[in-house]
Amino acid sequence: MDERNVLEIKNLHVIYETDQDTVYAVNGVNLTVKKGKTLGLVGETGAGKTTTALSVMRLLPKKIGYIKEGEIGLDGRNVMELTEGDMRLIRGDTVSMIFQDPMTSLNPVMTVGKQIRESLELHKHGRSEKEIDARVDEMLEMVGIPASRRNDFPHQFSGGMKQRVVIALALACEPKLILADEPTTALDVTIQAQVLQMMNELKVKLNTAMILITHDLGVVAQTCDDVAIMYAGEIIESGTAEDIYEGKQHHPYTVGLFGSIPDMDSKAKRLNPIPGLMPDPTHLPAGCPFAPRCPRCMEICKETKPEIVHFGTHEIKCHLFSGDEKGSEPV
Amino acid sequence: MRKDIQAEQAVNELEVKKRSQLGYIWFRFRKNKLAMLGLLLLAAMALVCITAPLYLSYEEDVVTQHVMEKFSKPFSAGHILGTDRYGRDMFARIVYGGRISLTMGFAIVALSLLIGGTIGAIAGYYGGIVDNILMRLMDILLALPQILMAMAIVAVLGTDIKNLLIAMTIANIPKFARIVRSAILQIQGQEYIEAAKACGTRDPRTILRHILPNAIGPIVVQATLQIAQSIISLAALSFIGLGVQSPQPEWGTMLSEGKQDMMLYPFVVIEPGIAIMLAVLSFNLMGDGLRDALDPKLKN
Amino acid sequence: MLKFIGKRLLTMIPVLLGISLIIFLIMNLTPGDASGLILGEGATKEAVEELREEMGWNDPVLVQYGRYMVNVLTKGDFGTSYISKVPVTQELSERLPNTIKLAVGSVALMVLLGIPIGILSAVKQYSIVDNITLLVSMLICAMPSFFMGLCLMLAFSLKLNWLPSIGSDTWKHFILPCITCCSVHLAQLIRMTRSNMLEVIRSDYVRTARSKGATERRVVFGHALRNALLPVITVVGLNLGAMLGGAVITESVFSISGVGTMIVNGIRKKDTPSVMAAILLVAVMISVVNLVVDIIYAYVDPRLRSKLK
Repeated sequence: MDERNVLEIKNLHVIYETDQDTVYAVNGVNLTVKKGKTLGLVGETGAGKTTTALSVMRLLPKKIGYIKEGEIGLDGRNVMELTEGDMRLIRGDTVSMIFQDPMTSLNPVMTVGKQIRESLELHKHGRSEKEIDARVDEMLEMVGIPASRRNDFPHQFSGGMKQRVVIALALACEPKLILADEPTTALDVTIQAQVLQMMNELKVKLNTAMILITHDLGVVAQTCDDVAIMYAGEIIESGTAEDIYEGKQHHPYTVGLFGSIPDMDSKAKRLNPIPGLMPDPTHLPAGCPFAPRCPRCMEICKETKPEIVHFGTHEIKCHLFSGDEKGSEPV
Repeated sequence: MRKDIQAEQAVNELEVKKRSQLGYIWFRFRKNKLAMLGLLLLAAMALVCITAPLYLSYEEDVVTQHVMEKFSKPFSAGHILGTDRYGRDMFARIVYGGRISLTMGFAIVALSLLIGGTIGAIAGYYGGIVDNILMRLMDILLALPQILMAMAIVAVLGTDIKNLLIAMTIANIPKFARIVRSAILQIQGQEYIEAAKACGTRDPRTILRHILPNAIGPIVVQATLQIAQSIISLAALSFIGLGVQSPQPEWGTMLSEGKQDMMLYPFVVIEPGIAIMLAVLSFNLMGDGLRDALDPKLKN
Repeated sequence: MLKFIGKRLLTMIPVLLGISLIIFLIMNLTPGDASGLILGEGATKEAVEELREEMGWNDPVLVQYGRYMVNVLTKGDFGTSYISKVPVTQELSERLPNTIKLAVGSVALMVLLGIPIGILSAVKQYSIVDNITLLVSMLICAMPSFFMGLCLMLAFSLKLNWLPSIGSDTWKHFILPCITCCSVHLAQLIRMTRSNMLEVIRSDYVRTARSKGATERRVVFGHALRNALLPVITVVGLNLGAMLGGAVITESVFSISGVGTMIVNGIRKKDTPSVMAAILLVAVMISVVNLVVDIIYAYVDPRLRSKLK
């Protein structure tokens, strides 16, 4: 595993098995997150972003979610080879997760102080009780909540403040990687901005790497160093923020995504959604998963899966570019 | 005007969907093995009980005492389940007891659902003082355990079957009033009711057309489970002597009669007991199955 | 909090009054009276009339009710039982301990067995333990309590001779009755605890706890349990009322001399004073228990606690 990376996912395949069907949630995902950097993972609902994050922590729902194949390298260790006991030591300590809905992510009958404390108690690292108490207060202050509120219950806080508590308990042990799953989607737009800014500052201060899962391209532009765009369980385009926002070539899906953002200045009367829906994850098409909706679909797209084409750091998984490479070899 | 018609059409479409929703619910029910078992069990029992007069004689088998044959063991000549202390055929008594229990169960629930449901519907729909008064009344009825309430009423009216029906219905009314009321309150808050009202549908129409079909699900589940409860309560009342009287073959009465002989002849007590269990089990299984079929998310 | 309690106590009063009125009307609007009981079967018509005048049974019902309530509220006099000729309050105080022992024993059994089994069943969902538990619960729910009582009596008392079958002298006498009385409610409690636990274990905050690296044990006991048990408190409280009703039946099965048998006998023989007092007592007990349960619940759930402050 490369020293500069905190997370390396190679060829990840994850399925959900129910009584009736098998859902192919993640199909051959490769992801890299550099130490101290933020990767934006973008995609529609159902693209497999949350599943990927849960896989890193091996928190897939028991008896339903399985990692069928793939390697996950986290901070120099192979996650797939660890025992459950080892994983528990890692969870919350090396990697932690911030979930989407702050309203339900906190235990309603436990004080927020105690919940933050729990992270620290589970990963003591030789801290004394007093030190733990001090750290709890420190975390609260860090996220902008007065430490005197440590004995209040979650229902006594607003949505935005609840999310800050969640962030506090995720950061309490100074993890090397944070998985933030749409942390601001459930919040008001004004609060969104505050929380994002706070997360950025903390990230810089603690030198933590982050995967920010979102469907909001604007947020990605503000906060992310690298971007990966996910569709139907595959990464169809990735690169640095410049690659994605200022690059000349793009996957047709990305084009559609950018095109669908409402523009304040234009006089258009209708929005431009991408027509159609994501394919049924229980019956994925052969060939490129975007083919049925792609305005530039060719015959080969329907039959063969495209290879990843490299343009330096910019990678696109599309047949349109197979011949266009500049000096790199296909994987 | 045009908007009115459009809204009406939209509501009609929803209703069409509802009809196939019924089919969908039945499909899910069918898939549930336990629920189907309950249904089959009930069907079998009902069949045996309904056709009883065809192959059994009430006078001969159930009531007349044949002292010479008393306590015949099960599987003895002419008596599959044996006879009791008065020589009466156990099988015949249990089957006729079933007629009593099943009909009473249905009747009690049907009546109390009708009366209690109407009370609850009125309380829920109109709210305010009407709601308050009606629910206080229900609270008074509920302050006593159902059994005691039924016992007290039976004390007044006597232990005739008709009066038992009245007593147990009254004891059950508050439960259904509450269930229907809360179902209506829940649905009233939902937006499609506001939409219907905005279209100008008149009050009773709103209740019947829009609220009831959605509220019916949980109510049917409760009703099924209550039939089981009523069968047990009837047997309990009869057991302590305040229900169906001898020589009528109610299962509870049979249990109390058999108690004195159970040491030597346990079958006299075990057979009616198992009959009660089978009847109650079938309704419970069906009720649970309906509950799961109506909302698979609740299945645990 | 005090306001909450005060309000609840206030609403209890009209309910109790309502019950007393209803029961009194029920007992006195019925044809026939207890003259046969008091004077014996062969009493003359004149003697009966005289008795009726003396007892005030010829007065309008509501007047009789008023007289009764005045006696109760001012002198604590609930009358004398026509059957036992003993003041009702005295008879009640003799019988009440038995019923309370039965009720408390049943509740204790129900909670001590029901909650752990429910948790175990949930944590080991779909395992053999779980399936057996569900099966047995279902069968128990289908069994009327008195049938279970008779079967237990048959098995453990008459055939095996391990436990006494009737009476109420020693604690051993209460084992079978308590099991009988609580069995259905035990089964329901198990199912409810199980389903609450299952639901809570799938909740988001449990996922958060796991993401911190919590062990399964911590998740179950530290997070899931308290949340799953909150609704159980209310249900246990509600079931207590039904259990008291069931105690009546259980007392009959095991010939325990308690409040329940007092009611049953009183109804059969039209012993109005006994029935009134006993039923009122039951109603008061149930109301008080409901109030206590509500208070406990409000105290234990922090969301309600802050609302009530």
